This record gives sequence, C-alpha cells and structure tokens, in this order.
Amino acid sequence: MSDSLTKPDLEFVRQLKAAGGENLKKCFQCATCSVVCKLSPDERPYPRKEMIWAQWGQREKLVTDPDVWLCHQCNDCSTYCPRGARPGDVLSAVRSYAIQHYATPSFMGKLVGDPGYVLLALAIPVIVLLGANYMAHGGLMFAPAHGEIHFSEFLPHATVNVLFSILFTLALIGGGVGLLRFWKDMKKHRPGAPKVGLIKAMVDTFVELALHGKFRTCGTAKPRTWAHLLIFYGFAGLFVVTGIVVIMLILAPDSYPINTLTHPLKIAGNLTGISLVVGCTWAIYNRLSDPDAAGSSTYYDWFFLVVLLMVGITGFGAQFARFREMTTLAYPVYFVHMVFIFALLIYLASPP
Amino acid sequence: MDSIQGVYICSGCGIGDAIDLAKLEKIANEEYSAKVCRTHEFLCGTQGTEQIGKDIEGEGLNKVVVCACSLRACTDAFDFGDDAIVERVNIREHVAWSQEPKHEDTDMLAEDILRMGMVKSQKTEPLAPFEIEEEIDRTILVVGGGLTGMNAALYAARAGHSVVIVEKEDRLGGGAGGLKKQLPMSAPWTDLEDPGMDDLASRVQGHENITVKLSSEIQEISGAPGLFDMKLQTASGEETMRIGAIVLAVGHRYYEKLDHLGYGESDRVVTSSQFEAMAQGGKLDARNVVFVQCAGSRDEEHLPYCSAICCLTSLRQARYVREMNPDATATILYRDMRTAGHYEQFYASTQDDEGIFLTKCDVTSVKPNGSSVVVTADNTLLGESLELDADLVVLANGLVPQTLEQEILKLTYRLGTDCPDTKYGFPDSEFICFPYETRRTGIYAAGTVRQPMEPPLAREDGIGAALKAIQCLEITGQRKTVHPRALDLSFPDFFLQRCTQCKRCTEECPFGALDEDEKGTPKPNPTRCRRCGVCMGACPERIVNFANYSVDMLASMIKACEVPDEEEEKPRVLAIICENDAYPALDMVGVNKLRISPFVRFLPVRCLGSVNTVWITQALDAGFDGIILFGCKHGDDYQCHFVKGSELCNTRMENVQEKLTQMALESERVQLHEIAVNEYDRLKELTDEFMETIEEVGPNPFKGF
Repeated sequence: MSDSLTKPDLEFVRQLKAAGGENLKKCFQCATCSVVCKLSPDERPYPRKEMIWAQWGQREKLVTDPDVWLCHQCNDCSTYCPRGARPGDVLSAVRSYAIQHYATPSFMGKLVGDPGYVLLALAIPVIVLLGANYMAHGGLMFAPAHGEIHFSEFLPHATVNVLFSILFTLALIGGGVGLLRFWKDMKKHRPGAPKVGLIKAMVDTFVELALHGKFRTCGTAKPRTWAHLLIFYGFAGLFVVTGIVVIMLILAPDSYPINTLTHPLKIAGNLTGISLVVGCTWAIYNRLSDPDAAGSSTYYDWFFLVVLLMVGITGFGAQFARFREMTTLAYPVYFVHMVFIFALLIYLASPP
Repeated sequence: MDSIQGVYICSGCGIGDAIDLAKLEKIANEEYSAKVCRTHEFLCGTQGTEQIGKDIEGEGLNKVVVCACSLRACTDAFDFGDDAIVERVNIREHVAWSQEPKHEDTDMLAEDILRMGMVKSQKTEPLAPFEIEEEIDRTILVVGGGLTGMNAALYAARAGHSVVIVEKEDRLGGGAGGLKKQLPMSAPWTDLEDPGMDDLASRVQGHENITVKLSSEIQEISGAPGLFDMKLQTASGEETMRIGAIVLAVGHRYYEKLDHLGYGESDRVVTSSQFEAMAQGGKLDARNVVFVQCAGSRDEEHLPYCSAICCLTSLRQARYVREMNPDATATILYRDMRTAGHYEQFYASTQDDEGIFLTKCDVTSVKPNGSSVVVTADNTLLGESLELDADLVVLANGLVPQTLEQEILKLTYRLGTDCPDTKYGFPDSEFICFPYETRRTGIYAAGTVRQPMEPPLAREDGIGAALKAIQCLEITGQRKTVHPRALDLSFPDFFLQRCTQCKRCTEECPFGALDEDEKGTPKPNPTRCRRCGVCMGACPERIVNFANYSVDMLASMIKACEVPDEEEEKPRVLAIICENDAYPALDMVGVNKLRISPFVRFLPVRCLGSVNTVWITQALDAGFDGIILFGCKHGDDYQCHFVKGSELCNTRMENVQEKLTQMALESERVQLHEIAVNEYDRLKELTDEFMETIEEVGPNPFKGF
C-alpha cells in the first residue's frame, strides 16, 4: 500500500508548482521519462511515480522519497516528455521543498529556500562579523594604519577560527539532525528499505561524488557534468587547504602569514580556487544560455551558485589586494569574502 | 432489341503480350458476328474512344463490348451515354495480369470471358424507368429537434427543401439544450462554450422553409421514399402530411441501471445528467467531487460498448466544480481516458487545472457513508488500490438510443415499425462505407441515435444525413436508386401471369420493397427498391428479371463457356462473385500479379442474394466440376451491401448442397465464402484450395451429357 494514492492535496500541488514544477499537471503518465532516464533503476523507476504523486499532491510520499535524490537533473526526461510536463523540473521542485521540510532548525530552510529572506540571509553573517570586529578592536576598525596588510589585524585568526568552528559545528549538527529525520521518515514510508546502513550509504555517496560516474551518463545537460565536477573539486580542495591552514595556525602560528605565491599551500589554494570560479561561471552560463536543457533553476540553486562564486571571486580579490598592498581595498574585500564563507558554512551544512 | 455489336480489344497494359488477341477477334467475328471488331494498343486514349464513337455513329452500333481493363477502371472513357450499351470484359486484371502469358489455358480463359461478355451484351435491353402515379414529394421530415436535428433541418432548408421538425418536448434544444456549458466546438478546443442552442433554435424557427411541430408525436408513417404519409399527434390535434425523406435524429437516453455503484442509496451518488442539473442550479455544496467513469459501460452485464462522450462529460463537469469553487477538487477515476480527435486539447487543458485529479483504475465499490461516499478502486496508475472519501460521486453513465425498445417512426412496413437495429440497438446499417444509411430506404439516422458521438460530430451528422435525404429525393425523382447502386435506373420486372404467390420474393426483400395483395402477389413499392436482385434470386419461377440483368442472361453466360472433355484434364470451375467486394478483390489479385487458376470462370453478380439456384444446376449440366461463390460477410456484423443478400444465398446454397447429396454428387462441389474487399490474397488461396478439392472429388460425372 505504500505507493498508493490517497486524498489529493490541492495546496501541496500549488506549492510544488510555485517551487518550479509549474507544468506538473500536464503529465499523462506515459512513462517516457522513466524509460529515457539512464539513472532510473529497473525496480521502482522514477520519475513517473513521482509525477503521479505530484499531480495528486502526495506530500508525505514525495518528501520521504529517496529517488528524487538519485536525479542529477540531466533533463533527458524533460526533453523527451511528449506533454511538456518537465519531470526534471518537478523533481527539482520536490527536492527544494524537501530541503525546506527537513532543514533544522526549520527557519534555516526558509532562509535559503525563500527569496524573500535573501537580505536577512546575508545580513546575519554581516552582523556577526561586524560584531566580532567590534569586540576585537573595541570599536569598528576596517583598515589598520600601517603599510603591510595583515588580515589578522582586521579579525584575529583565533576569533575567526573559534567563531567559524562553532557555527560550522552547529550547522553540521543541524544538517545531521535533518538528515537523520529524513532517514527515519524514509524507513517508515518504505518498509524493508534501506537495504544498506546509513554509513555505507554515505560512503557510496562520497565515492559517487568523487567520480561523478552517473553524472556522465546524462544526455541533455551534459555540460553540467564538468561544471559540477570543477565546482565540487574546487570546493573540496579549498575546504581541505583551509583546514590545513587552520591546523597550521594552531600548531605553528609563526609559519603564518604565507607571503609568497609559490608556497605549496598557496598553489593548491589558487588552483582549487580557479576550479571553483570557472566551475561556477560555467554552471551559471549553462543555466542562463539554455534554460530548457538546464532545467528549472530554483532559488535555492541560484543562492548557492552565487555564494560559491562570490567566495571564489572575493578570495582572489583579497589576495590580489593584499599582494599589491591596496590597503583601502584589501580589508573591505576580505570582509565580504568572510561574509560569503560564513554564509557557505552555515547554510550549506545545515540543510541536508 | 436487335444487337449490333462492336467489339474493341485493347492490347495495352501488357494485355497483348499475354493473350493471343487474334483468337479473340476470331471469336467475336465468327461466333458472335460482331459488326465491328478492332484491336487498339491504347483503347482508353482519345484515339481509341473516338474510334468507338465514330463506329457507333457510322456502323450503327447499339452494343459495345470493351475487352480491356476492369469494369471499375476507365468508366468515364468508355461511357457513350444512351448511344450504345457498353459491356466490359476484363481481360487485363482477370487474365493478362493473373495468368501465365502466352499459355493455352490463358487464351482459353480470355476466350471464355469474351463469350460471356458477348452473350451478356446481346441479352442486355435498354432500361426504362419504373412508373408511379404520384409525384415525388420533396419535404424532409426531421424527427427530433436537438443539435443534430436542427442542423439537419437548417441545411436541408437552405438547400431549398421544405422541412418539418417533429419534437416531442415543448421546446427545441434536445439534450444539448439542457447543458450548463458545452464542449468546445472549434479551435483551440480548450475552453467550454455556451451551448448556443437558443440561438440555433431561433434560426430554425425563423427559417421560412422550416415548420416546427412541438409537443408532437408520430402516430404512423406509411408509404415509401418520396411518398411517405405521416399521421402526427400534435398539441392541437391530429394532422396528416406528405413527406419525401426522413432524418431520424431523436438522440439518446442515459443508461441508469447503476445499483452496483451505489446509485439510489444516497443523494450523494448522482448520474452525469443529475449533476448537470445541480450545476445548472448554480450552487454546489461539495468541495470534493469524484467522477466514476464507464459507469455501466464497457461491461458485458450492462452496456458492452463505449459511449464515446462520458469522459468528455466528466472533464467538462470537473471544470464546473473548479469554476464554482476554486478550492474544490474534482477527481476523475477512469478506465481509459477517451477523448477523440481535437478533444485531446480539451483533455490536456482540463488536466492542467491544479485542482483536477485523474487516475486510471478499476472502481471496485461506491459506498455511501453518512454524508460522504467512500470509493474504492484497484489497479491505479501505480498498480495499487485506492480509497477515497467524496462529498459527491458522479457516475458517468453511458447512453442508449432513444429508439431502443421504443417505437418512434411507427412505420407500416411488413418488416417492422422502426429501422432495424445493429447488435447494440442502434438503428444503423452495419455497412461501414455508407454512414447515415439505415436499412430503410429514404430514412437516415444521425447523431447519437445512430452511434454515441461528441457534439461536433452530431452537428456534422445532422448535415450529412440532410444531404443524404436530399440526394434520395433527387435520385428517386429521376426514378433511379440510392446507394449502393446509386443512379441505377434498372428496376425488376415481375411477369405476374406466371406468379405462384409463393411469397419468397416479398418475404426475402431486405428493404420491404414488396408488399402483397390479398392473394400474395407481390405489390412493389418502387421507391424503396435498391435493385439488388434478391427477388430475382428468390423466385423459383424465374419471373423476376431486370432488362440488363436476368436469370436467363446469366444462365446463357454460363452456357457460353466451353467445357473441355474429361480426357483433356482441364477442369472447369464457375466462380460467382459479388461485384461489390469480391470483384475488386479479384482485381487486386491481378494488380498484385498473383497467379490464380486458369480453370476458373468468374461470373460477377449484383449481390449473392440475386443468385438463382437454377444457375448452379445449369453450371453442373454444362459440365462445370464445381461452383464457388464469393460474397460479403454476413451475420451480426454483416458487410453485405444489401444487408441480407449473402446470408440468403448461404441458406440457398445449403439447400443446394443437400440436393447434390441426394443426387449422389459430392456436396463439396458447391462452396460459399465470405470475402472482404481487402482480402485478395485469401481469395486466391480459397480458389487454389477449391481447385484441389475438385481434383480430389474428380470430374463432374455429368460432363459431356
């Protein structure tokens, strides 16, 4: 009985349509989508069943449905759909809805999922960072007077490390709780599943992420694969490099700052940074140049793409200004850089 | 009439390469003393036809025998009007294209069919129209004043005919007049429309050629096309009027034996038409309406057929639900969503409404439960079962023709008071090529009484039937027949001095053209006749004949064939083929260059119903080893162009087979097969099989006597 339709929910249909699945009612259940999808499994294939649930407003079934997360939004289904129902967009809308649904605490979901909260979402890091600056200097201090630029004079490394670590940990906890809620609901709604444990599932997911194997089977939105790979490795690389720097700062504070571009860590950081910026730009270009092939872009998608891109751009900007000793520019850019990193850490981790 | 025959042999299209045409000329000249005999390499070209025209004038020909292609080809080229009677001998498809070229047997076949053609031509007499005392009336009666009937009336009136509409209700409009909104009737086929029936009704009522009889019912219709007399009961008393042709557009009723779906148990379970009335009222106290499709339809215990319109009705009514309350939902549970033609657009646009929910499923129960109704179903789109709570359940029920178990026309035909029904009770003819034609000449069914259909089709149906009625009156006025032998002037002649009053012809006529006087002598209603010749086939005294088609003519054609001695080991089979379907199928054997036995002599007939059993006896007497008959499908879903012809022939042939057995002859020597127009390959196979059977049973022992 787990798949069966229950009372139709008009309100949920409206929400999904608003979240990007505006064509969902056009589906006439021919299953072309499930047939053309190269990722859809033979057992319990998607997205046909999701389309039927979506048409009937089956909220419970969709938010707990793991299959929508198998979708890479290659949009072969949307390209081949004979009725223009765009299943790829509908799955994207379902994911967007599910993120908000499981975001812990729930206002985090609103912050990243609702365009109305964009100012608030950016204002939080600004206020927190300004507060930290104020507390470190006993007043707001943007550009230290002397010539050599040390960002630590703007915000002490210790403050940054402690602040970001705490917030990131909280965000991770929130994200973890959301994930566990999803995992529990999923188990409840599909007896007998999952067939593997949470840990094994996560390992498999990371392997898949590292290789992007399934992504490469996509047809319509093929360019996305490489853009996504660049973003992924750019982000992961920067995360690792930053981690090493933080550990170095704690273990050997004297080795910092690194004042040469040929330092191995600088090289690694710059290469991964380039990967991130190129990947984000490419992804944004794909979404803008051929929206049909790229599929619907939810607000959530745009929010993260822009935040990631800004992290990369402001990072390079701050580095450039620092080496060129453009004092008046260096500190404000660094501040913006910190704001976006802050946003990335708290908003990316908390919604699962 | 003395025959002055001209024989024209075409050598084009490969005929000259396959057949020894000199031999044919010799037969025409020596055996039949043709006045003129010419061979031409392109007979249907201007040069060829002009030559024939010149000879008709110069040599005084009154009969022309064209030995060329199928009688279904080049009909215009070989039409010489009243100047000469043309007979076609098909040596192209039936010989040159389906036989081994330059073979002795091929030549013998060509020679025999030329002989048959020559005899037929000799025996053909000029046609004279039948005589009736009264003038043909041009009034068209439209029974039923709904969408179909009003369109029929308007178009007939615009063509200059006077029209009478008889409507039993006190207003025009019919079923469509009672709708809140109508389906889209034109592009883009997405939005509901105002039914517009008041406007249509006022145009009908305002037309000078149309008389509208409201609150009226027919008491009796007697007579025949062009000469019908109608007794009418109107609100103000009884009237009689003369009518020419009839359009039957009485529409449908709804099927309401729906107890199995909770109908009658609660006022929360209603039919489509009841829901329509609720929506008309303008207020709907249901937020959650479930439509159950195929209610009592496509079900062997109820209506076995699909009513074509119920899916669209529910889609239309689902829109009412949404229009009347934007927060209300409509759920449609269907077995197959059937929205033919342009209505795919309407389905798509209705489906796009966020508050309309659809799933394929099999509804298993509808159970009223207090103020709500529980609907359960299996096999949804996800292959699962479903249970829904509804405020209101609408059963989308199918339709039955108004004529079902109800006398409407009250005809005084010996065959019954109304038009015969098809399997499901619709007063249609089963023959697919002739829409609107009922099995009563001059009466044309249109709209949902004919078959379930959507409103635009009903509108077109009304117009189509009106045109058919006009055609009937025009052609009948010329003393010719309507379909399928449209424009045929021939009419059976009854040599009544020798009539034994056996009543076979009067009883077997499929169209009730023959009434009887007190003694049982046939009394023709010429305008009902379709010239099939069933009477000719039925008559044991062989006194029913046409000037251009008679028992004697076909018997002489059979005898004209040369039957070789037993020693020559060339068997002969007579194949009697219906010229409507089997003949074109035989043409296709030639077109597809299939080889068919050269020992078969094909004899085309108007209908197998016109086959007189005396031909069988004469063929056996003449030494034919077997007789095979090819006719149209008979039975419930008959394809016989004359409804009962092939079936009657089948019965007669069963009797013939019995007689053969009594005469110690093998009954296998006579066989009848049903052939559809596209089954040319089967025609060849059946013929081959029959030749094998004849080989097995051996030569006809009467051969040579």
